[in-house]
Amino acid sequence: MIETAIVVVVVACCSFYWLGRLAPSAVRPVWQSLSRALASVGAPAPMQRAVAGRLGARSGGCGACKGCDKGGGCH
Amino acid sequence: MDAVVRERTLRAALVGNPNCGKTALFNQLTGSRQKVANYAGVTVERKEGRLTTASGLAVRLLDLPGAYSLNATSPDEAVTRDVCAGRYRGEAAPDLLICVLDATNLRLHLRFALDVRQLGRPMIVVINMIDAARQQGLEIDIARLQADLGVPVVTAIAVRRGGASEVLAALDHPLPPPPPVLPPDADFHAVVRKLLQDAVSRPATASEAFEERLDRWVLHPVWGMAILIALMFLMFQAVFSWAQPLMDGVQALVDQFGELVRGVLPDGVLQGLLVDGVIAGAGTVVVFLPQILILFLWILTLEESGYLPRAAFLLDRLMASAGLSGRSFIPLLSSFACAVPGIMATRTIQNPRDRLVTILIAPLMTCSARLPIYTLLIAAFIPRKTVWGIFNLQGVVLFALYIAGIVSAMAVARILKRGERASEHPLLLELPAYRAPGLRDLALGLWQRASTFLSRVGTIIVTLSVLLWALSSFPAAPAGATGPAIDYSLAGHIGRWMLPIFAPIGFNWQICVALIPGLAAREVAVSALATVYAVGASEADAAAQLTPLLSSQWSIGTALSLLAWYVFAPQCFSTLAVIRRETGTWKVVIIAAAYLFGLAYAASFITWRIALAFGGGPS
Repeated sequence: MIETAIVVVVVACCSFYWLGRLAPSAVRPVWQSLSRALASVGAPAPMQRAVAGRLGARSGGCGACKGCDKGGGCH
Repeated sequence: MDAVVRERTLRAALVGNPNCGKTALFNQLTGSRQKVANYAGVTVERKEGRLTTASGLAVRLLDLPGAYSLNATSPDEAVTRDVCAGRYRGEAAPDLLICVLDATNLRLHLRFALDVRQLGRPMIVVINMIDAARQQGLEIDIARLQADLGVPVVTAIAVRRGGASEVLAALDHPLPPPPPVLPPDADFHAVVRKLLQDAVSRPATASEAFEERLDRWVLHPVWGMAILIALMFLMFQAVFSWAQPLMDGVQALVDQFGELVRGVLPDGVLQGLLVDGVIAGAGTVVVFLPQILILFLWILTLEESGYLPRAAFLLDRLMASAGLSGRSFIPLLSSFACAVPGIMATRTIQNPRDRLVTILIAPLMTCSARLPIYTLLIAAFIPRKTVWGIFNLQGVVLFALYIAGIVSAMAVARILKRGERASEHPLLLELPAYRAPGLRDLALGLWQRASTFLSRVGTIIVTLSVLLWALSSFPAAPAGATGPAIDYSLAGHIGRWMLPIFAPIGFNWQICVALIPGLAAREVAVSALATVYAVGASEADAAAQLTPLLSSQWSIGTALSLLAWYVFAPQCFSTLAVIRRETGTWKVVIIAAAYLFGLAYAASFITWRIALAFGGGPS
């Protein structure tokens, strides 16, 4: 039972990751809700910053690089 | 000492001719790790970094693309012109222009410094590579040059730690006054001659004579081409010969880890996820890291040595035969690493049609992501034997695949450019001095490649492997089922649904399944195949590696057809996205994807039919 739960969570996380890559606007409400929830329960600051970072993250990037220029170019 | 932080931030911009060391200086000053190489055109747009001087002055530093003059003839030169003149969208003019000159080539670079000086903005001049100039016996009278130019002049060795100390000290000084401006009709070449006469003495040296002798061979139309082909051929031999022991080591580690997990965890879904999904998927791709690093060691060494611009010069005639100019060489060469920077590097091409054609053929250059697929199939189906006494047959086949990509690209360019007049802009290329590659730069370059590759494995490949494992494992086989469980899974159904499209080119349903996640990135197909076969494997061969599994289950025709597919197929989201960004239209993306998939299907079909005719089909 625990094994199945772990597998379900891992597969769901991977699905969420790809949803975020392919349709960033679809996962934005999830990050927004999580950010509000973390703030309301007084979660540790690094955790809140990490989630806030995801909210501000741009959808672009190539491979491991996310250093897109403001003009849309690649760093 | 506590520095008092000044309130204002100084905005400075690095400008200069291509390949004068701007990006190396930028990295040195800001601690960045932007790509540097010993050829022109590496930087194609503005980059920004920050630093704080010893006195606490905050500096926002821009690294601009190299330009031969401020009369821009290409998109990257236009960026430099617009930023310097304060016309770049959303970017105020820099407070200070830092004009970087190559000390070994002042005749050319001082001409650009005069161009920049005409803007009448505060500027300093940095004489970079001063160590190389000294080695050549050049003596530069810095004080005299400073007096003649009317702007502060400092020296630097941008590639050496601490080599930018004079630049940092100069930034701490108050802004210099606007420099004197020459009358519009002044003869800049005469001014440069006078500056050189006054401030530079140059005896002939032995190293210069050696470089000239070397260039006589390297740039020779016949011998030069022979040297280029030999270097490329050796590179692919090395990829197979040198990497094998390292790959065996990594494979052993992956296998042991899989066995460890299998021993620790009881049979069940979690063990299946980790062993058949994550370890089989990601582990199969990680094994190719040594080959990718060896390939890049060669490319980086050639970059650093100054050989690549000479290769571009040699290939100008070949490019012309395909209707392109030698300017397309650097973007196409960059595409051997990855089509994304290659497509971006097309900004150095002035002719819009040449640029578009180069963008369309760049995905045909064999990027490093194809390497895992090529080497997996070559290792499985091409015998490891020596041909003509010295060459590894597997390396020869890999070389042939790279040549197939190049020849196809040239053929496509020829077709797209048919009936068009020769380019108005002939190739004008600066040949840099030969340099021994710096170990630090090589190590840094390899580290960046390794971390990028491993980061892709850790994100894209692991997550896709997990998803594919789930698709291959669920729903489970019904009670009383006789076939393998994967036949009843979602992946099995999808594969069989796609089979009518791909069966005419010799693909089985497992390859069809692997092609879907392989759309994200080419190397994902390897992990996808590993996962599909691991999930579908019987107990007896569950521990077998992918290579022997494929060689026992596929025909040579299927393998060759898949190789032909990957020579052409644009299976990379990032490449298609960057085509959209660089051309500003989806139309070009659709054209590129359609013609490349069409070529891939046609090439696989022909390969499969030829293989069948020679008895290479299923036995």
